[in-house]
Amino acid sequence: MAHISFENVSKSYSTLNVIRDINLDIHDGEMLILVGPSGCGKSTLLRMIAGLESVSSGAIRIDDRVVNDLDPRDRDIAMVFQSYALYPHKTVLENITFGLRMRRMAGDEILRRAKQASMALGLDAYLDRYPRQLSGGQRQRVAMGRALVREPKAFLFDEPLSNLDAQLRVQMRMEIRALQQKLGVTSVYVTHDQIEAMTMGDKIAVMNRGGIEQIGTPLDIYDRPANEFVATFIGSPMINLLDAEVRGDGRSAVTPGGLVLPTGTAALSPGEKVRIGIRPEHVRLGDDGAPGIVEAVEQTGLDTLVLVRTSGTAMRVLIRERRYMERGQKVLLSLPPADMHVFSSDTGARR
Amino acid sequence: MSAAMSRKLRSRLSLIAFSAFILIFNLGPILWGILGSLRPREEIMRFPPQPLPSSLSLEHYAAIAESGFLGAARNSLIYAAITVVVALVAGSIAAYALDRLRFAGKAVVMFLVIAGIPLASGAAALIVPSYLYMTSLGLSDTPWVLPLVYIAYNLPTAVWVLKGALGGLSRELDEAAAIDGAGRLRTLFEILLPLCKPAIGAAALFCFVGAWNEFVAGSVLVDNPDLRPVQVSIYQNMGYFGRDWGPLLAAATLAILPIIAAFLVFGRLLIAGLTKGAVKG
Repeated sequence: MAHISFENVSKSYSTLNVIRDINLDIHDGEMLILVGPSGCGKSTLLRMIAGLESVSSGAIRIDDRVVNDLDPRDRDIAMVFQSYALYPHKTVLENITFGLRMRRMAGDEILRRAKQASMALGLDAYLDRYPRQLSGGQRQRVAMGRALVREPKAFLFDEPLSNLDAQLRVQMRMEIRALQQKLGVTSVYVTHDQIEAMTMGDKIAVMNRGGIEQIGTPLDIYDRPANEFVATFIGSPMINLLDAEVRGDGRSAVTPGGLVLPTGTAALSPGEKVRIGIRPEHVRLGDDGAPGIVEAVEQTGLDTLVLVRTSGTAMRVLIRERRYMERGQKVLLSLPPADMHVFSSDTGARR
Repeated sequence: MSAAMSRKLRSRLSLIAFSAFILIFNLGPILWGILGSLRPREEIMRFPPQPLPSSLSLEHYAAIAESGFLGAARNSLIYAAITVVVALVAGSIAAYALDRLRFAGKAVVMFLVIAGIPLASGAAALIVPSYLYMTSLGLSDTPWVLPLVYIAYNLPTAVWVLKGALGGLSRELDEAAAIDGAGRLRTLFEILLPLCKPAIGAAALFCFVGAWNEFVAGSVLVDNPDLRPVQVSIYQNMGYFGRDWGPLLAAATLAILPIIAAFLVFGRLLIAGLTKGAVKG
């Protein structure tokens, strides 16, 4: 178990900065999720912890030891790859124990650990098989097993579930989280799937263009996004974002179409240009409020997503209970002030 | 019989006829050579030729056994084996460096490797510099000279074939091995090369056949009859006063056997790789 920290870490390929000045602390036993769109640098950051990518400037520490120039094998970390990277010509047992053999561990200890890990992952019946004889889920478990037996200081996961079907993904995500909590091993998990990010981590770091936009607990990030990017990236269906101008009272804003939105407690000056965000599930359809017309309805069975046009703006509304609505139906939208997120029009930062 | 069926039958028959023609065209001279090596001496050049020998005789084989052919064959087997082993080991390390490492001048090295492939197959062009070089090193007419030259001739092909195969393997395998604690050499020999069996088979075949069939360097760089390779030994049967066809055919027939054996051994690797889908993770 270990404490991992980044201190002003940057990485660039000649003039291209792929990682910009990262400062980050991952505490002992914690599971940190790195999430962001493709190309945001999350995998690069993970690979820098593993030692698979070099550091251009700054320091990465594992347990207070700077590891910038340490070989991957000397960092005592284990990694699960997106493609699993199993050795195709080795059996499950050989795959799992290769790392232990490289560390010249005694034979009986290797077998003991392999047994333990394969029991924990339900692989004991497959130890003699080759990766090509396994299903996607089983291969995933072998990749996990290979990491587990090492009993490393930290686990690194690089989108390990992205090749699995949706059902298996849900199951594996719970298993990985349960295992991580049981073992208490510091873990870093890269994903672009925000559900994985929300459900698996103690903390989430939302990344964009090589930098970290916000770090916090999943609910923190969901409830108080630090900027427009985080607000739009986390949350599905996506948050509604409306351009507006603060009114004279400083407590509400009006869109170009004339829709008046409460701005909650943010201290705003009259005339200021802002963008107001409201999550679809916070918009209520009720007996009073702004009039709107239903433009589209999507039933998922679990909930209902309604697209409502009001004052020239399309607003996504998520209703938890089963409601039967039709296109063209007239509704009234109420917007609770407490659930409004106000962002600066210029910088996108939370106001 | 319907028109479609008869058309199908016709096309099948013509395919069989065509295949038979190709087979006879290719195997005919070999068969003639083998039968010739077993004919009594006076029957070989008789006109009109007889399809089958009147009696089978091993006299030519006995003759070449006495004239040192077997020693030359043994020499060539040793030269070829050394060439295969060294070219595969050095070639895979070079291929790994050229495919996986970043270093200055990599493109130039790769260009030289590629440029070396045609030079090696036209080895006669290299014989004068090779001779001068080996003589100045004091190596000509020693047991080392032919293996060294054969390795040099065949290494570029081995590097090229192996580099292609390594390039097809996911780098995540290297990375997983690095995290598991394997060094570069261990990764190459224990993780990557076992997944390149078809390429290893192909490279080994190239090297073996190249070394076994080489003639020019073998005839120039060694003088000592004890160091003579097999192709030169076959040529010994062509004298100033004409060709001694019987021993010549017997020697040529025996010289085919190791090539067939090499195809059986290394060809199996080729097929194993093709049918196994070995690089699928």
